[in-house]
Amino acid sequence: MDKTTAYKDPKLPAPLAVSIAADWAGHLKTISETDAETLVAAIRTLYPHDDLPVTIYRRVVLHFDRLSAGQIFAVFCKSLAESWPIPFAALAETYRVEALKRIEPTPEFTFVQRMAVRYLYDDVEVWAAFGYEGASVHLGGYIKRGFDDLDWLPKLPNDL
Amino acid sequence: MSRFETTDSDVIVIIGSGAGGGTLANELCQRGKKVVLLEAGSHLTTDDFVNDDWAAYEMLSWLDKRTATGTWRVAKDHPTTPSWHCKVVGGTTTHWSGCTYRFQADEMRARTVYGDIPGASLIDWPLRLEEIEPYYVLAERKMGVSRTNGLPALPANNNFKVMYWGAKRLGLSQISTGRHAINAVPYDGRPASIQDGFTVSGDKHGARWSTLTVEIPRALATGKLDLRPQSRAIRIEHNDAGEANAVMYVDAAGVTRRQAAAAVVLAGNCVESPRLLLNSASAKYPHGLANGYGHVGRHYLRHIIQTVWSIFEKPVNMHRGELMGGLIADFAAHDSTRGFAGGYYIELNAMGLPTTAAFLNPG
Repeated sequence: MDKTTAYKDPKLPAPLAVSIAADWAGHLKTISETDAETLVAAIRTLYPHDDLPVTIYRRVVLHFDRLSAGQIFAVFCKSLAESWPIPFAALAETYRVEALKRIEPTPEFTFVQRMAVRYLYDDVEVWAAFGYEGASVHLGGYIKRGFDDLDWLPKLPNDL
Repeated sequence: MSRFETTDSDVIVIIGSGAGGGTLANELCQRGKKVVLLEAGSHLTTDDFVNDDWAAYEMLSWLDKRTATGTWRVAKDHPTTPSWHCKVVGGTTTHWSGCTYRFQADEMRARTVYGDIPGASLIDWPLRLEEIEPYYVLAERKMGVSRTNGLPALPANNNFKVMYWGAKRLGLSQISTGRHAINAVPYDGRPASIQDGFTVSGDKHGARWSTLTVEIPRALATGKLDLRPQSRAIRIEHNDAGEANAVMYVDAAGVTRRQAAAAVVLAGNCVESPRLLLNSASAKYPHGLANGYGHVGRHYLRHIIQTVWSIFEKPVNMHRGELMGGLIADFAAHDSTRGFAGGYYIELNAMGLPTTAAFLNPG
């Protein structure tokens, strides 16, 4: 399938700029660099999309940083760190899943999980990857852009 | 816009500017009555609206803290936001999908037809369907409901094609694009749908009826409406005879005010209306207003839904077009052999990716 072009509503701010460099988390205000890497690994473990670049997951953490919920994220990361003697982000996936399952009943896990869904699937790059085209009124809707172009089923009867 | 004095006891005070309150405000103003319309939310316009699931949710919704308790899934998943209403001029008509059903005759006789259901406190309506049918016709004309009053159906979209052929294969027969207060053709000053898929995000295009875009502007044009946004009603007062005669509310500046009233209409949806009735307890009505039987605030019931998602090998592009453009009515009638009360519709419901992700495993 051709890659979809997805649109954010023109009234909304542009997506947060995210760095591909190793020091991408250096400017975070409420989350430490170590915790930022832990959070990226946790979100990617919860919602693994192999074709998405790591920058997508980093952008979720940039949104987390703006929630002023540093304490919750710190508790979340600390409890993950207690699972194994090596850093969570360096663990193989099986062990990361196990560590996450261990803290699943905690409110910190619930918060991170929900906020991950909130921001990951609200990312216009993720929309494009999933084939969701997003905002449409500024483009005239879909009435001339394929709202009824599905052609792999028989034609509908006329008397509906 | 007109401004009436807070001491003007000739005004009718309506609390809530949504489907009920906004519509009644216009009807009263058209008849020359003075109306003060209190709305807790802001007065946004379609220019303010955005085509974006989350941004629209945050712009339109009632996000003041509520709490949910009990064993239902919602109490676990959404303990502080258990009910999705809007807090904005136009109320939940700004978020409404436009689906426009009618009651069926049996549903007016619930106690008789369904029998005694423990804990449900069912009664029959004191009206028969035939008595309210003329008002359905009137409402459908006002809202421009598709498939009524000679108005055409909404055209079938991609998602509908999938629903239609799936339903056909199951042997179902009552399959249509449904009835919506969304224009398939220009009507009553509003444009036809451009199949944008953002009706529930405020409906920026404006093909759907709402009190924000239809009733309230017309009421304002009469000079009889005093619309007060960001004005949260906190208490309804009454006179010695027990008749409501004033509303206490907190305005945008946080100042508590008292608006006198010839009559008070409470139209605040299913959480805030009972909250206000209960919070308006007085010496005469110690259990709150309209609560002589102790049922106010009980029997909360909104949409009961079961959701089925499907993944297809070939693209559907469900987000293109009106979101709820499909309806199967084969199971709408009550059937006692099924072992539960009432019937149900199968509705098509597309969502954007953000909402799909949030509701894939919903509460």
